[in-house]
Amino acid sequence: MSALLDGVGALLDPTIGLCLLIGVLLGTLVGAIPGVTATMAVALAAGFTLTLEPLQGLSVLLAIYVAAQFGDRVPAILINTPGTPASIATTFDGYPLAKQGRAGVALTSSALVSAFGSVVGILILIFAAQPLAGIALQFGPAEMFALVVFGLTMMVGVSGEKVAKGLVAGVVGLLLGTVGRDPITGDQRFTLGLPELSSGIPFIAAIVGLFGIAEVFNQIVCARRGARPALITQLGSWWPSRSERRELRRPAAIGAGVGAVVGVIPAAGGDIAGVIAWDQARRASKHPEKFGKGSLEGLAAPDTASTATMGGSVTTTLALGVPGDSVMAVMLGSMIIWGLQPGPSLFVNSPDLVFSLATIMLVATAVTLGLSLLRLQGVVKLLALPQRYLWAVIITFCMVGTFAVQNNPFDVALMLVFGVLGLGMRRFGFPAGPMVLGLILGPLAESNLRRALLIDGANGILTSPIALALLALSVLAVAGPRLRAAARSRRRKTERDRDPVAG
Amino acid sequence: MMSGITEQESAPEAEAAPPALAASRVRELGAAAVVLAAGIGVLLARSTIVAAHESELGPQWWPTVLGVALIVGAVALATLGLTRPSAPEEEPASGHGVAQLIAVLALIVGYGAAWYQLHFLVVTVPLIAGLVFVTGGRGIRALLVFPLLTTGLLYVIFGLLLQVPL
Repeated sequence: MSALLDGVGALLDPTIGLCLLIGVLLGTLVGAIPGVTATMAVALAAGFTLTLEPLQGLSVLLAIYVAAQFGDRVPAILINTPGTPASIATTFDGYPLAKQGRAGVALTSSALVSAFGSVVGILILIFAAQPLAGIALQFGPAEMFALVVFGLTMMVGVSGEKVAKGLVAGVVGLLLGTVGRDPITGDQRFTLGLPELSSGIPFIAAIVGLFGIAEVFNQIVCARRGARPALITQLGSWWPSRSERRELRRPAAIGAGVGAVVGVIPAAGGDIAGVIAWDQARRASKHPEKFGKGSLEGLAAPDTASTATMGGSVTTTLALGVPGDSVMAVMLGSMIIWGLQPGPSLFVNSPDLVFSLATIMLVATAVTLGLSLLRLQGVVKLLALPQRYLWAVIITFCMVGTFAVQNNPFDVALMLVFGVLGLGMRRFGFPAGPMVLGLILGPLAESNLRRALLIDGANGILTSPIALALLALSVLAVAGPRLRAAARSRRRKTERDRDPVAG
Repeated sequence: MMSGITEQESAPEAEAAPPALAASRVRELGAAAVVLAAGIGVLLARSTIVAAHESELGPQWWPTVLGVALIVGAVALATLGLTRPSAPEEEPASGHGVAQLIAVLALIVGYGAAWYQLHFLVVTVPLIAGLVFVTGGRGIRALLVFPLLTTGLLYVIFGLLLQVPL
């Protein structure tokens, strides 16, 4: 109790409130700009905050981390461009909702479930940090590979009705993931002699190209002389109705669960959690056919999951001293410079610090939620801009945002290549989601599978209870819906044969 | 300023929805052929990977698995394309739209080349004006005021706030 009071009491300094507000504003801004990630913003801010007191500096950094998770939903919903990788799955249903004139409900619902996910993640940080971190420590290469296989089964779900094309796109994504240095031996693969490709395909350039630029190119290529295509000029209703709020509950719960688990696993972040949660919510939904076409459930699950990972990532960082994701890696560096040594002893030596960090994240969540709901009013004007202005704004912001990630023009060129590739995929009916999933999970799948096989052979995977459980879940995830559908159709056929008049 | 543009130019938008793309065996077989070529290309390109130490699970192993998977995928796509050709859920492209896209791409490539030589502010204003022009924008507000405002905003966010060396 005294640790809780000490931790919260340490935040009563008004300068901490100011730092938190600055962090929230910065985080919301960078989240909303495609290409600029929370990692980049935290890294930049870390340079300025090192001169501050630890709690002041951590207020800025954690507030950026939290707020960016809210801001990145706005471009994902309105222009089909994820603000950061964590909102890739938001585009699946957010943009179709906006095209249906329900952008208002989508934005508000997204903000509400994101806040819920964030709070769940923080509660996990407070109450379950140590036991969860213990489980995360049991994840070796075999378990990680099985987890990644489970993630890869999402390709089927993300493909919608185009399973074959989705799987081919997924394999191409996995192949793109092989570009760069081999994860085990360090040998160069498919780099074409370009040093820029040594560390792999720049992920931000790929997602901005495949989603944002391809969308703009597709709209341009369909434009007809003299015709003015329908714009998303209305937000529709602002606040979700009672039935819509009820609709959000189950996917939000699923998203929170998925985000909590994925968050504590080192190196797995909001992007992976979002896609997994979207697919799990689709399986649990009474209306899975609406997913990918503008389902509020399909929006709620990934948005809850990606914010719920924050608490898990902080948990892993504080309890193990291992960064839970790339933002935490930057923050870990700052903490060490401030003389704070994350690891198991932190919970014994400085329990008040854990409560301070959790409180900072809770307050940042509340402030960002308020700001999100206020800010949405101004979005109407942006939506009502004629398309040619939006196209120019999206293209230039995507170009400059992608350049800003590594200050490298090569990334911009690659983003355009992915834009043209994404356009071609759309025109031929290949979904982009599985390709991105392959690109995210490919390096993890390959490195962990090869490591597991090199260490123990196939036995390493087949004797691990965690890996076996995850592999069984993967088989169920792919085969379950098909077996259910086959059984249903057999039942219908039997009923028809028995009663041909009714049939 | 932006709201001014909005009121004036986004008024009546009523337009009949254009027809969706029709299913086509040729398109599906074309896509399968591209995937097949990619799969074969990957298997051939394996030889460019120089491994420091040869082993069964070396750096060529995973790309080989994926190359074979692509070839299997191409066969599946071709079979489905012949038996049940599907149609993408997209509007058909227009000649006018394709011409606009080519112009947009040319502008972007020119911008990339010019950015090496000139300052960001100098090259970005003409880029935005060019993008608006080729997509149908006309007048001082569309071709001068809007590009100036957008470039200024980009410079403030990226150049000044985020310290990106533009």
